[in-house]
Amino acid sequence: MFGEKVLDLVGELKRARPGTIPPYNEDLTRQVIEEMRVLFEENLTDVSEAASEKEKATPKPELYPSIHLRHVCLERNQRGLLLYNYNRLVKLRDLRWELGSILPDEFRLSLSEQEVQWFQRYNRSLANYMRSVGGGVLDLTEYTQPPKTLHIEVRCLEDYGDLETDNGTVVQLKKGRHYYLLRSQCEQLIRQGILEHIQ
Amino acid sequence: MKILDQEIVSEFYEKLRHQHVLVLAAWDVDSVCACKILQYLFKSDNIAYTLIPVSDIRDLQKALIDHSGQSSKVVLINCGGGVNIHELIESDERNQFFIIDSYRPLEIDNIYSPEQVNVVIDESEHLKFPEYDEIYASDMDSDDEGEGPSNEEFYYEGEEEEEEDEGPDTKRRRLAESFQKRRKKVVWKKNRQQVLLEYNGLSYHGTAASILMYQLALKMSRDSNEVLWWSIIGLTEQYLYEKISSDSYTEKVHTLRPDVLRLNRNDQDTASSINRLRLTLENELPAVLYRHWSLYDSLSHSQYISCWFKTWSMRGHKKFLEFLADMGLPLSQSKQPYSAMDASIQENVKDWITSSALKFGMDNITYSSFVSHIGYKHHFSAADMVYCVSAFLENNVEPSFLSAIDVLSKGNVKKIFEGIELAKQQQKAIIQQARSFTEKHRVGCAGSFMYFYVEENTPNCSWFVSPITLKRLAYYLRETWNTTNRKAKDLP
Repeated sequence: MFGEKVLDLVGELKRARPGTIPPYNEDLTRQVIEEMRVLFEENLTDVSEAASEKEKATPKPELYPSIHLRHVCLERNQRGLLLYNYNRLVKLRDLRWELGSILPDEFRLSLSEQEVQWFQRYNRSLANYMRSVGGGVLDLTEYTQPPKTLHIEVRCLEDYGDLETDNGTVVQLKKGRHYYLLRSQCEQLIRQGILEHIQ
Repeated sequence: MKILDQEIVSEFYEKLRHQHVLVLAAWDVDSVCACKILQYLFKSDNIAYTLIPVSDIRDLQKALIDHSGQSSKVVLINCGGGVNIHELIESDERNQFFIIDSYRPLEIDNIYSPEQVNVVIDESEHLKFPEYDEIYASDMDSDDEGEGPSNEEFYYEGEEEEEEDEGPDTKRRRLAESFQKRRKKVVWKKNRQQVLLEYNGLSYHGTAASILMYQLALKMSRDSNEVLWWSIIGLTEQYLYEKISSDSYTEKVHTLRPDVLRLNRNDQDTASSINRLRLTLENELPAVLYRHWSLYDSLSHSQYISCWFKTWSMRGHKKFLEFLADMGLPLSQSKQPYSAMDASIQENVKDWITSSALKFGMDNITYSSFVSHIGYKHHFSAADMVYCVSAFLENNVEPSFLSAIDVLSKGNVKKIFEGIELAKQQQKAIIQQARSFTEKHRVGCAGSFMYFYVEENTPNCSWFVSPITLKRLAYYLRETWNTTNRKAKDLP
């Protein structure tokens, strides 16, 4: 039946675990395109037949339903393919924000060639944009949410020693203590695993 | 210097602004609650702080020394009131201490110290401090004191020699003067001792730190249901662990009641108002965690009831069952979890218990308290929360001040249940230990003190490492002792 393969293709993408990209199914894509080509050619002949016979004044209305059916199948396949490709790109874009500009190998291998190219171009435009705003030092991927408060509550997970803050006070970071500090000063330490952010 | 609660905003809070504040908190429920309120206030004012839990005076000293050069403002919650801060550390001139301590008596040196050490006091307590002149000598006297009597004599003798030619009259006058002076000083010294003895003689607890913090929030118009709830928990802890008498507890509850009513007016019950924290005033049974336990367990594990019936003995246990029967409560129902009991029983059980208790000779066993409701499902009384928080503080595996703070955060229901389970274990351990002591007659009596040993390697001993649990065990044993030995009624 028409349209089943494209459903498989979309289903495959949907079944993938969140945060991963399944390998690009080139084989199945090609089969879908082949199916579409066949449908299109059949429609073409039928349409030309129906159109050409108009002049002989014996129209063939019995051809219309099959033309219509094929056309709907074609449109459905097209929609499925677009869906497949678009959603892969959305996933890829999310990965860029999560993992940064260099993709790990396991993702890179499951991309098609065009997708790799798209990824590079996306990287480039993002970098250009980030350079143009915030004086060129702002990493947008780190601050995806606008901060609600200037300070955050943190807990110290291991002894660190003295931390000198911007306004000159020295804070001693020790295990098992609770602090309320400027967000900007903590972020580095949170990423190092010394501080823990309390929501 | 004292800061009265009237001027707590201007003298205490305003001085903390724009600085990194060091908060030192003692290891008890009241200070957890006070911290929570202070954190809430600091958060809304963007005041950076460091919070360090301290469990004893050595901890306190160490923390102060570690941070002496760093934060100039130090807030001490429920600690440091009873010790002379200046003696504890050689503090920097820039450091300023604020003490909020429910422990009384407060060290007199802290009260009369200049700007550097400030003690926040609730005026309604009517604390009486000795007059400054009674404790500290004026300049002239203190000079003499420093030099000691022998020096003094020498000084006068030297003077005499010098001024020999002045004639006997002047000499006699001078001698008389110096005698008078010395007599005055002896009297003053005696008086000082007397006054200090009277002042320091008894130790007790005053207004809870969390109540003071609530007043602070109230004065700044930042009070909310959460803040009020935290201060109620702090207050309830003082009552449950017998830090304050039931009279002063009732008095405090009465002052908080209007606030509860004000913040919990019966507005239109919209979905959003259901899911927020709501507080109601209710009478509480002296039963431990009964909302989350079976009624049978809860009653038999509570101090008052179990001591009254002496449930550790066979006869006492029978009497306890009789008590349950008198209420008209089937045993099968009372052994169910409270929430699974029949709804009709749940509604009436409080009245039944009170009336049966009257019959059995216990008078007025309920006390007024508050209950918080979150959504339709969760109801926690202030007492439940106290047991829950202190279970985290006193956990025998891994005591943690910070997880005790987390429990109080909004919407942390899962953690509350975790704490309640821990609290049940704790309560069971206390009761078991006490029972085994009473059965083996391990409680000794020495004059006006009683003593007992908790042996190492007994199954429950790990619980009694922490002071609050140990204290609760002691209170329980005292209660059992009081009920079993008639002679001992007049002992403390």
